[in-house]
Amino acid sequence: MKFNIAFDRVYSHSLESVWHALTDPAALGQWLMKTDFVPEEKRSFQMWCENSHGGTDRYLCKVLAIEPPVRMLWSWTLDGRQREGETLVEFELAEVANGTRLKIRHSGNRDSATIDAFKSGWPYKLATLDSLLGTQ
Amino acid sequence: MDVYQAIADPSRRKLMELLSHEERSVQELVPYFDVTLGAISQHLKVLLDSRLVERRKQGRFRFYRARPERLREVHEWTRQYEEFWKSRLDRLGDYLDEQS
Repeated sequence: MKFNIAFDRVYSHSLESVWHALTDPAALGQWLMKTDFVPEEKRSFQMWCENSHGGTDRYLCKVLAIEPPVRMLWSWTLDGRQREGETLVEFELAEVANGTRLKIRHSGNRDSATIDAFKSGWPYKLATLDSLLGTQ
Repeated sequence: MDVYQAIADPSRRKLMELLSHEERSVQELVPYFDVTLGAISQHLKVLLDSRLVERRKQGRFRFYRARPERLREVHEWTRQYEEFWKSRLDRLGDYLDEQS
């Protein structure tokens, strides 16, 4: 499924601290998910997260690119949902006056037919449909 | 075929749009397309199988209607990721504050 969401936050901490929080498995376990992450390019890793049904969701991930301490790209796929395609998570860090700016972009990477479908404005149509029905 | 593949086809998306506003028969859908009635029936079958469309029989006619609640599942997926990251980024802030 094609989707593209982005977040932009400024943390009043040093670039090194934020980078550490993004690349240290124990730190990641504290704020993101339990993981066996290794900060090396092409390394596969997994993440685990309790879901709302009392089970555990497992994510199959890979470090696609890593440029300490400013940029990192992960492939990120929910186990069992491989048919929906891998998703990409990109982290970008920059020093700003009052700390560190973190940008995260999470995008879906479906097969080309579906990507075309979504490029044609389908998400907008979905939103319209929702508003038409007044149920969202 | 899953819901994503079902809506990947432009003709089927057009069908979904046409059927989201009112119930129609295949015959009523024909003028909106350059393809045969048979081809439209095939697309409708895919949408029926994916539960994106439902069918009502009345006499010898069959009427089709979109089921938008299925589409919302697609929407829901993006929304879930959004909520996920928002809460995790808050937690990252808390984590960083605790460490300093």
